[in-house]
Amino acid sequence: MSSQLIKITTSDEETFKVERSIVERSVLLKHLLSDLEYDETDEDAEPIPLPNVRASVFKKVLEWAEHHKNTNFPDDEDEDARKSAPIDEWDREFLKVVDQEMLYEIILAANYLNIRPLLDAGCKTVAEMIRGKSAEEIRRTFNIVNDFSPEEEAAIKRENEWAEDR
Amino acid sequence: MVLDQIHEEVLLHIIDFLPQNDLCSLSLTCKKLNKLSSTKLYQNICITRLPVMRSSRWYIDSRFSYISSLRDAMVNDEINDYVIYLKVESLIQSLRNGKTSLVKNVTILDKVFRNEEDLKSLNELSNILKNAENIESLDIFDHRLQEVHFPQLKQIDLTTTDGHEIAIPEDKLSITIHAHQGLLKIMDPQNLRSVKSLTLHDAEIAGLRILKGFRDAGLNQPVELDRLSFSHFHGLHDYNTNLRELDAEVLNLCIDLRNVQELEMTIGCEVEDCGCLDTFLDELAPRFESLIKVSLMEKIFKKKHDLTEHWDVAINRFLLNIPTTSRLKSLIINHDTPLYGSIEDGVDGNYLRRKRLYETSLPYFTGLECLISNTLMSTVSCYEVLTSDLLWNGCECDYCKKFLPYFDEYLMNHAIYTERGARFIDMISPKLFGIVGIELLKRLPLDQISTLDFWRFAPVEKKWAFHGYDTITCFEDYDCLFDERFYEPLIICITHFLKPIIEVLTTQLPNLKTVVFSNIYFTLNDKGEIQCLYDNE
Repeated sequence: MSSQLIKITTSDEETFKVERSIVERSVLLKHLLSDLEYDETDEDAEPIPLPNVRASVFKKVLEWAEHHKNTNFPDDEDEDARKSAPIDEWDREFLKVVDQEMLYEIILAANYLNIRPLLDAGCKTVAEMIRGKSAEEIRRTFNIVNDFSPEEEAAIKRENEWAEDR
Repeated sequence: MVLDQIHEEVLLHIIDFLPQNDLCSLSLTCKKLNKLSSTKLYQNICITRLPVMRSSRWYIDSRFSYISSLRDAMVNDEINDYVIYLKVESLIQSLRNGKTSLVKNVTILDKVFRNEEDLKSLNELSNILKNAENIESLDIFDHRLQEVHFPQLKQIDLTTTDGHEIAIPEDKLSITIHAHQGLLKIMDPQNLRSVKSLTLHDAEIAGLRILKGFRDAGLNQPVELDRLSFSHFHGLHDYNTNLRELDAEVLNLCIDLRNVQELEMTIGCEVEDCGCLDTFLDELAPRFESLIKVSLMEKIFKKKHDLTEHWDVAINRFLLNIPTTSRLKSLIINHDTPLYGSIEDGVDGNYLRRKRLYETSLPYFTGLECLISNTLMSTVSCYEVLTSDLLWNGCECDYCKKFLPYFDEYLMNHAIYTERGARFIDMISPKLFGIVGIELLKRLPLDQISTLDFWRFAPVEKKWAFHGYDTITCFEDYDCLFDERFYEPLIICITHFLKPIIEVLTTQLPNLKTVVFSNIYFTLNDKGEIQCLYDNE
């Protein structure tokens, strides 16, 4: 049984064969498998289509899931504790080496596939890239176009003055 | 693809991990990100006297936007009052300009201002929040502020009236009761049925009498709670006349303990040959089938060793007897320690016995992720053997080798007044670390917030200047240079003392992720490394 694999086809028509325990890291796919009563022992089972995820991104997601094969991510975790926790060191390294484009796509895939721990790690990584930077530095890092007039910018500065912790 | 083209749901998730200063910067980048940053910036607001500690790798300070005084420790109280006042006024202005609907949770802690005049601004703020259509909670801890009632909120604080009455309102999820001393008359206890979280504060330190009040008023079915917090103490004092001993039956009849997931108990008994603490805990333990978060706090007036040791044995037996011992995720244990470590009848043997007790029981909490003792340094200071180790026989790293001799010099040149002897005595290491234990406690307002809400609030920057307490004096011929600047090094030396203890814990508790001792935060990453969150070289 354990050698049987689930077939998944990405948006660019590449088909992956993956162990059930790895696939089920995605809450979306887990529910889908149980709704479809997917039987991986059936050689002719249709592959599951993933219209929103490219093969190169899915490969990274699988790499992450493979590493965390034995990690216990409780689904009833305390919201406050989960949010405050630092990024797992392995995840930090894993997400640091990819380029920005890939990082976004991993985050979007984690969001679509509903993989909470990967989504958290990805979002925390982007948050770390924002932290400590000035508005201009953030614009440069993320290619954001400034659509404010100087007056509007001054008004926002005034509006948020109470929240400046210096 | 650029950042502002990602869809909003995911952007909001990223923004959730940003603290206020970065939200301010982000809001200045472009219109779309300004709109999203504002949602987060105004969502949770906390007003506190001291600025919170920041760490670039943790996100605990991202939960609230804090209004506080300046970070510069040299600024005087008056200026800080003025700074906070200006910030509150600026917030009020922004709320008036259309941001009110973004506000969801507001916490105003006690003693924000030194000058009472300035409280007006906080009253004005809470009046504006009355019309905030999306507000979910408002916690005000300063009793000088006028009471504001928000019937739309799902949580409520109830205080006994002049007629000693408390009426339970309909349709609340969370109720906190503050009972004054004396009689107690409860009305409409059947409304407790909707409540999921119940907190009992009692001036008589006999929270169980409030439950008895529910029964007397006709509550005939146990309430199904997720969270329960109460304090009950059996002592020699005579102001608690209604219900003195710890009584398991009252609790059992009023609360369906099978559902309680989070429990905070401040308990103790110091009546000789009573034993109600043991009976109480032994009877209740098997009933808590769902507990995952437990906070146990010692209450004791007589600071005697045998009592504390007895308390430790009782709560450890309780923790081993609950059905969820191996499923517990958070454990918080706090002791009611004597001032500056002056415990009665304490000898090193007591320390060794208590150490062995915890060493024996802790390995059974195999699922434990978070272990907290906010009072650990105060406990440590009860044993001179430990504080001496810390100062003279401990860590030999370059940092400690450089700084520990300064604290030795501090001891050599200072005296402290002791009430017991009614005279000045030379400063000794238990006293020094006892005071540090008290100072570290001030990082969190645990007199106001529940220990169960530990993760909601970031600790504040509280420094100590090595003097004060009305009683510390320098020797006459000593040119003393000790002030705030030495506090951080001292705390760092303490972290080096604590790390080996945490190392032992990690070998026993495979799931441990966070340890907090005396509000010094440690985290364990997936490589098994221990990192200190705020107090680093």
